[in-house]
Amino acid sequence: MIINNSMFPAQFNYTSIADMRSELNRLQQQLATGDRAQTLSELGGDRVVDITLRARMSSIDAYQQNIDMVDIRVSMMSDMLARVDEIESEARSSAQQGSYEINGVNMTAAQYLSEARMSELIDVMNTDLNGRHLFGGNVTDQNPIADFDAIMNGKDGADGFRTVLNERRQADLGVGNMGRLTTGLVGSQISIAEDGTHPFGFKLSALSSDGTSATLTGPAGAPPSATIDFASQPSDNERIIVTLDMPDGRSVEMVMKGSAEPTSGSGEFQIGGTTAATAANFRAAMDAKIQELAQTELAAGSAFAAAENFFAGNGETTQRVDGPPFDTATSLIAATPADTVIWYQGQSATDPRRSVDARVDDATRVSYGVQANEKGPTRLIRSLAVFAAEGFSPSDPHSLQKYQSLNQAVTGRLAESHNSEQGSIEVIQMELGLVKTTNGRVKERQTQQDAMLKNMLTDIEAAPVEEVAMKILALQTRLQASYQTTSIIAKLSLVNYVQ
Amino acid sequence: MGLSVTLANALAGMDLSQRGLTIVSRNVANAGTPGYHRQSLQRVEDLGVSSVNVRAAAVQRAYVLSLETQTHRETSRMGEFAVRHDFMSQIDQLLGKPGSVNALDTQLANLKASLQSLTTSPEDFVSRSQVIERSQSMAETLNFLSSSTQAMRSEAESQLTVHVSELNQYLNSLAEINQDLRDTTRDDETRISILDERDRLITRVSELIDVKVDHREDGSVALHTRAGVGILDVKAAQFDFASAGNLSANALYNTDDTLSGVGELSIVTPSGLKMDVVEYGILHSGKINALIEVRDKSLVNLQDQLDEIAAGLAQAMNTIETKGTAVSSGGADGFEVDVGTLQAGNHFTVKYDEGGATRTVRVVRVDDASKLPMDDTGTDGIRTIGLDFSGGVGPVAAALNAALGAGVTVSNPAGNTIRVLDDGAGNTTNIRSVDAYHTVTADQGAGAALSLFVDAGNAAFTNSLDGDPQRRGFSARISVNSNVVANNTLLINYNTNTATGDAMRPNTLIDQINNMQFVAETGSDLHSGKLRIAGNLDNVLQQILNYQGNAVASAKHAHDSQEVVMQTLQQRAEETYGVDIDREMAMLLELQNAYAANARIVTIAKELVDILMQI
Repeated sequence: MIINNSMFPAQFNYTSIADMRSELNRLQQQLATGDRAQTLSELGGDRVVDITLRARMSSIDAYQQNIDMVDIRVSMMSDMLARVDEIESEARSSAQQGSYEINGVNMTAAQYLSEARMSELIDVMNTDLNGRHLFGGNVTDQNPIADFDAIMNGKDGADGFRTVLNERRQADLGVGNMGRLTTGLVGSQISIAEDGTHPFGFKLSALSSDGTSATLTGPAGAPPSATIDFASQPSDNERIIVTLDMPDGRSVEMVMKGSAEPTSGSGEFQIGGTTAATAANFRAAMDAKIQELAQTELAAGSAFAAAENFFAGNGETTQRVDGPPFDTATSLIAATPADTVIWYQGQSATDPRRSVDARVDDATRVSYGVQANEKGPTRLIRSLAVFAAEGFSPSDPHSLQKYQSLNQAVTGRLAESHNSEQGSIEVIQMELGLVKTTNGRVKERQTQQDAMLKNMLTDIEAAPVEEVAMKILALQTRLQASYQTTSIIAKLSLVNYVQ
Repeated sequence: MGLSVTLANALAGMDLSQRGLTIVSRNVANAGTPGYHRQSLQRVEDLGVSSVNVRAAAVQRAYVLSLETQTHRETSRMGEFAVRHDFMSQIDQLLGKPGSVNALDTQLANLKASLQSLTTSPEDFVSRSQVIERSQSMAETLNFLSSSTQAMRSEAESQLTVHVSELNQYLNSLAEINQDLRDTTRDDETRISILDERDRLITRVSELIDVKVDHREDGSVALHTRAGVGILDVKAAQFDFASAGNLSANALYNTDDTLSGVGELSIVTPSGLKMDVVEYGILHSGKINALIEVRDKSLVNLQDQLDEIAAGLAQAMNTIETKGTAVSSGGADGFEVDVGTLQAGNHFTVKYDEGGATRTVRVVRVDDASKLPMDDTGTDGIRTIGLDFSGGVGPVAAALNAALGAGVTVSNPAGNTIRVLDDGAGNTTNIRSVDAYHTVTADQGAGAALSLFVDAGNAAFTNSLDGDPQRRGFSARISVNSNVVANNTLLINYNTNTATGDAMRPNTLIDQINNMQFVAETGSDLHSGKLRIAGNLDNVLQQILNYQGNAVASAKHAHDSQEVVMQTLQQRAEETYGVDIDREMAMLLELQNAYAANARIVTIAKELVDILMQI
């Protein structure tokens, strides 16, 4: 090419025509592809800008995909939580006091309704989106909550809630249904004491009287005990009130009313001839009352305590009563998966939201992890479980009171006042709503940025159609002129004119 | 006198016309022959025995020395630019336009995008396998680019072999022509065609190497390179090229023959002296010089830069950073860090203020005694010290203590900890940080980083400087960790009991790709200068692509402008030496008429003599 070794090297004119031809081809290619440059070097000085723009556009694409995926998940979670909220308000309205039933229909139906609601709650919390479970924190490959039957009845040698409930009731009610209290009578002095230092049964809280006949001491000491000493005969309808705390945090008042007439009403004692006789009557009536309260209020409180032990929340461990024997048990032990069905199998992170997060921009992350053992859902499942565990038979004299006591507890626990606590269903819904808002904002911003980047890229890379067409036109003119003149010159030679 | 004189004159004229016709016919016949110089007849008046007539003095050959010299110079430059343009275009095609499927920037962007979606759905098998697939694609692209670069180097060597043998041929032919030209018994016409051949050969030689030509009076030439080494006088020097076969990234030029991995080009002068062309810088221009430069500089640069990218990719993913803990002892404050996990090539950095200026010292583990002592400061101000860790951390602390001077105390209080303290009460120095960076040692249970990209045989990439630096040629060996390919849950499970939805490992990988900073210096191309790379992996890639794109563009530009120069010279040569058919035809007519006229005179003279004879 430098030293033309061909026999007939083309003259300058011809090589310049060939050059114009290849230029024409290049312009045609520009027009066809729409790109000004076909290779890395042709991009020129804007190369770095081009590469940077493309990198940014590609990362925006990736973030958009993330945002879309998170949006789908968060929508699904919000829908599920809305249903959970509905279940909660249904449970709350069922527990309203004063829903007078006809022949105990509501009471009988209570267990079945609660079972159905609890099963539905478990199913909702166990939903998965494309194989990914959403309510277990970052444990996404298995159901966060064990199935209903395993939870209530146990599975494979591990005990379920009903067993734990039963054991706890035995521990709380103690021997002879005395609620782990012992009473004693010495002369005219009645003593009442807890039978040890442990979390079970009634706890003496306060002692009061609306009369002055009895000398009240206590409750004091460890284990606490109190005495009631009849210094003089009480008057008719004089009341002595013992406030007892229950394991689920509520307290109940045991009102002992003196009566001049013989009586067999609950909580009434006959004022006898002497203070000793009165004290004896008092003690008998009190024992009966304690047993009655133990099988109603305490049973309800015990059920809730058992629910709190079994359905451990975030950061807590499942516990059960250490025994057998259970009715004299003195402590709780931590449950192991071998002996107890652990109800929640997902992640228990200190900050549940942060357990799952997604990158939606270089420095922005949205956290949307939810755990089924946060406060809201846990409270709900406990409230449902205590009703689902046992039925209330109309023929059992204690059922009605137990039922009402449970209702009272549930109303307190599912009250709207808990809505603003961290981990309640409403707060979770609000936080997920925030995630959606953030997503929307970021997506909008990125869409605009993407459009702007595309524009800049087009400026750098695109071949402006008009400009290229003009160049082709000019080149065409030059090429035609060159062809014409070259052929004319080639014909002009003296050789043609020599005879 | 008289008729005989007329006859003699006419015959001389006819003879001259015949000679002229010969020359015209030769010119016309060679009108298209490359390298043919136009010939013309010079006539003078001749003082004959009995008459004054005309004879041909000499056949002249059109020749302009300055044009020839200029042509030789531009031809060597053209040869050089053509070779560079050739190889640079190949590099252009290899690297691809940014945004096209096989371009490196697209590959990296795709890899990052797949890691992003992995953080959102770690439990999804499809996300994980996509990460694997994109990593493999990236590794394969790097492998391909690296092997193509080395293939281009081998191609340069094979072109060198061809050109060197051509060169030797030309030089030998020129030597023979010199012999012929010195023989003055030859006649003019033969001499002139030999001269044409001589000029052709010289031009071909100048395409291959840069030459300076000395013309002797008898037409013979002496050739030197522009550097002054004589190539041809009476005898020709011979160029000798011993090819090294297939080249690899570690086959580099070294002035010491035993260490050099590339082919050796040497010149053997007629007196038997052998000189290494590259070592002595004998050639400055021409194809052969350009091929050597391409083989030893441009393509080696490209290989270095590809290796930087590969090393950056591997290190960004497999490095664990351990920040030092603050410690105070005896009134002096500082930091300490455990350096027991450092492997060959890993480093820890000490940042401290002294005398108002912040200094950064990077201590690299170098166990190869032949590389030590190593202590130099780069242009970015970072001081790199290489130390041998094989004798324990104690000697390392002692050596570093000595290197950093009195203001900073380095000690090894226990086990593998390095403690760096300032000067306490003196208050002239202040330690800012001591951080250790080591390569993760296992796929699980050793930290959130992952050796996703590994060296040959699944070995971890630690950037070891022992022996042959591990970085050199790494882009040809880089591959995806086969354990991860076999079990892609390793992308998530940094411990055996990691939850399936735990995105910590992919998040760490992305964060490190985005934030880890690399600094390197590569390339000192005669035409493009040194490139200092600094920044995270994206920046490194951008800078490298920009540098190469620029190099290609300048090579193309230089080639294009040189082509214009060559065309101008060719045009001038056309005009000066070329055969103009029209002029030759006009000459032909003139000679034809002259010949006819002379023939007529002879006829008239003959008739007159006849008339005389009849008397």
